[in-house]
Amino acid sequence: MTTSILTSTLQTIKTNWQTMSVRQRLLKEYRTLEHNNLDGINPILTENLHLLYADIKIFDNELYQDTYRVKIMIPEQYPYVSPVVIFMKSTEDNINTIPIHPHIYSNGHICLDLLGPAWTPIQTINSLLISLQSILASNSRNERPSDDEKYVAKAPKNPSKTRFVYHDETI
Amino acid sequence: MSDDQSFMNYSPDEFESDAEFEYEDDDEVVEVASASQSDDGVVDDDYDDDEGDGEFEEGDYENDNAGDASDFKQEDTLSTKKDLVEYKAHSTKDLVAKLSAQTKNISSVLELTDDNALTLLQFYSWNSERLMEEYMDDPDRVKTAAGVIVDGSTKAGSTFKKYNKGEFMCFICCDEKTQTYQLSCGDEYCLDCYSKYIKDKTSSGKVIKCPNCDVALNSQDLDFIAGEGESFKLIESSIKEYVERHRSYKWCPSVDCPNVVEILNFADIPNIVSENHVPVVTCNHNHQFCVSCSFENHTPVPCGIAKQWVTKCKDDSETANWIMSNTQQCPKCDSSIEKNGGCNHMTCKKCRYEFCWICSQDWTSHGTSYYQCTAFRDNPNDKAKNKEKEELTAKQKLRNLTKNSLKKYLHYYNLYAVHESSTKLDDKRCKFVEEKVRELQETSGISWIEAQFLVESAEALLKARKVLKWSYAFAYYCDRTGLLDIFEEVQAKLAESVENLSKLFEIEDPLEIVRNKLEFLNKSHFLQERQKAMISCTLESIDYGCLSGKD
Repeated sequence: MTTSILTSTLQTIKTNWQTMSVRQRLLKEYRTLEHNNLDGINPILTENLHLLYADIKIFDNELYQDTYRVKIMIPEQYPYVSPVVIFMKSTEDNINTIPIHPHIYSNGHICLDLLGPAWTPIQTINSLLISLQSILASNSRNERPSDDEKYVAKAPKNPSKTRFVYHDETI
Repeated sequence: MSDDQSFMNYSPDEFESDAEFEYEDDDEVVEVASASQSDDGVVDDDYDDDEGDGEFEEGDYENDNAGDASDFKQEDTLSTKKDLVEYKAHSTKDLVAKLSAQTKNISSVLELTDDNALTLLQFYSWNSERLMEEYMDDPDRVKTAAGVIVDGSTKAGSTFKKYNKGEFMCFICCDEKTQTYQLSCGDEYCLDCYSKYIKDKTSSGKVIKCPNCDVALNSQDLDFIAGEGESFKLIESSIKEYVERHRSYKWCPSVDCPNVVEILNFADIPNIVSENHVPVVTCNHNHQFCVSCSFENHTPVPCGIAKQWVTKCKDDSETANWIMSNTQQCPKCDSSIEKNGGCNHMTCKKCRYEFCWICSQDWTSHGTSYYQCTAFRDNPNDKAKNKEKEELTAKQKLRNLTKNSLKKYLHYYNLYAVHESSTKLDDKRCKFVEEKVRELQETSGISWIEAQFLVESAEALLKARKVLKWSYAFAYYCDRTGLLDIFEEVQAKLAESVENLSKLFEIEDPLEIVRNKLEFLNKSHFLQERQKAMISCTLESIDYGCLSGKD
């Protein structure tokens, strides 16, 4: 099904050269995402080129038994600006939690420098998903960030509006 | 000595009679003058002019000095209080020069090229001490971390390359491009992508690195890829970083003002603030602001109170207060209802529930006693009802209390807000008039120096209005005592002279303005005196503990 979306998107591309590079880049990335078949990462493309989901499974860590879903929003300025990534609660069967992690807030926002200043245009959605999988896999602390309540109470809808302080080098 | 008498110092008459004042008969007044003089001992030490030792005894005053002279001496001292902050105003250009001097210094000490020194400094957020220290320890590690190419490495410098169509595909845009740029690390991207990448990063003021590795782009790379001047832009945004890193530097908080003030005695600021003085500085564009609050000059109100007032004005809690004191909730659907007249038989517009305004109960229980709540009279002995009644009166009391405090707040807030908007209008008006006079200068040959009176008057007007504006915030936080009456009298006089001068600025005809020069000068001088009186009156009030700071 995803391939048909891809081809239909390809057909509907209008030669608007300004957004051309974003499309071209995204299409290439989506193609690699499909071909790579990463272990435990299942990308879900949508009709919208700038929006996709991914289900992430973690192996060998008893903290994370579920499958977790992230929503990935691609801004217009991509790839010069990082995508916006949020863990989400889904209504579908076994995907109903936001993983408990010292850098993941209970509203799904992620404090990860790769999503902020450390992002560079050579990062890809692929590399981003692998990073997410690995920060979960390597974690052993079953806790939320210390300022979780405070942050969630007044967090902006878009986490890219938050200026996180990346102080923890341990995880 | 009674408080009221001491305030005679600042009674408005003083300025009416143009400082022809007789202290000799009034011992107590002199005592106050000397008392407050010694309070400001710190100031005296630095700013004493003719009095010499700064120690006054009552006798000195009575015998040697004429009353008015001592009076003005005191006010001079008060007006120089703002000079307690020692500071230097910088423009952005000054800072760029300062930063390049620092870069030159580092490059000569560490024997680096200017470019590399700049990159290192940016990487260390302009903390040259730390850079020096760590560089002395291990230069290679510092260089690698900052992305400066280590000497003697085999890697070549940056190169600009040209390809034929189809030969190169850029990894970032996934497009075939003909012009690329390669850094010494070997990573190569098309010029378009590089330029977008750099422009996105320039505003951060930090070192820009290769998208793939740690190698830093130096100013030549930047200028080549993103166009001449890009490296300068990076230095400009470095200033932001620099100012934020150094707490003794403050941005001017005025809108779009690019100037910076360096505070030389930064450690003294908390002392100045705790003594209820406002640490005011003036930036290169003549904006005055308080260093402690990073807010406009709020003399004579102490910083803490000013903050309290500003948050109060911003806070929606006042809206909530209003709702609380003026509305009731429908007992059924909880929508807020304001009763703006009529009888106590309420019908909620939303849910059509009919209830009694007084007891908040269903109207049907009121039966035939129309428009009068008899709910309490029904069963005077009923305990439950009595309790309810007590609760209700307590509620009523609270409501009245909030109502009163809201009224007080609104009274002062309105005055404050009026003067705030007037300041903006004055500003516009003054600029307009100045423009007019400039025209006149050109057409009828009035000299520049002759037209300066207008600039000075405009400045005096704006300053005085600001003091007046803040005095209302001050009054809000004062206890109502006899002192406040005097305070308000001084305030009223200040308001009057502000309006007088403001009115003068309404003259449109430039010739008429020049003809009124003397009037302008008189009025603004008068206004300045009144302003001083207002400030000293406020300070006295604080000394006498009138400022409660309570809402």
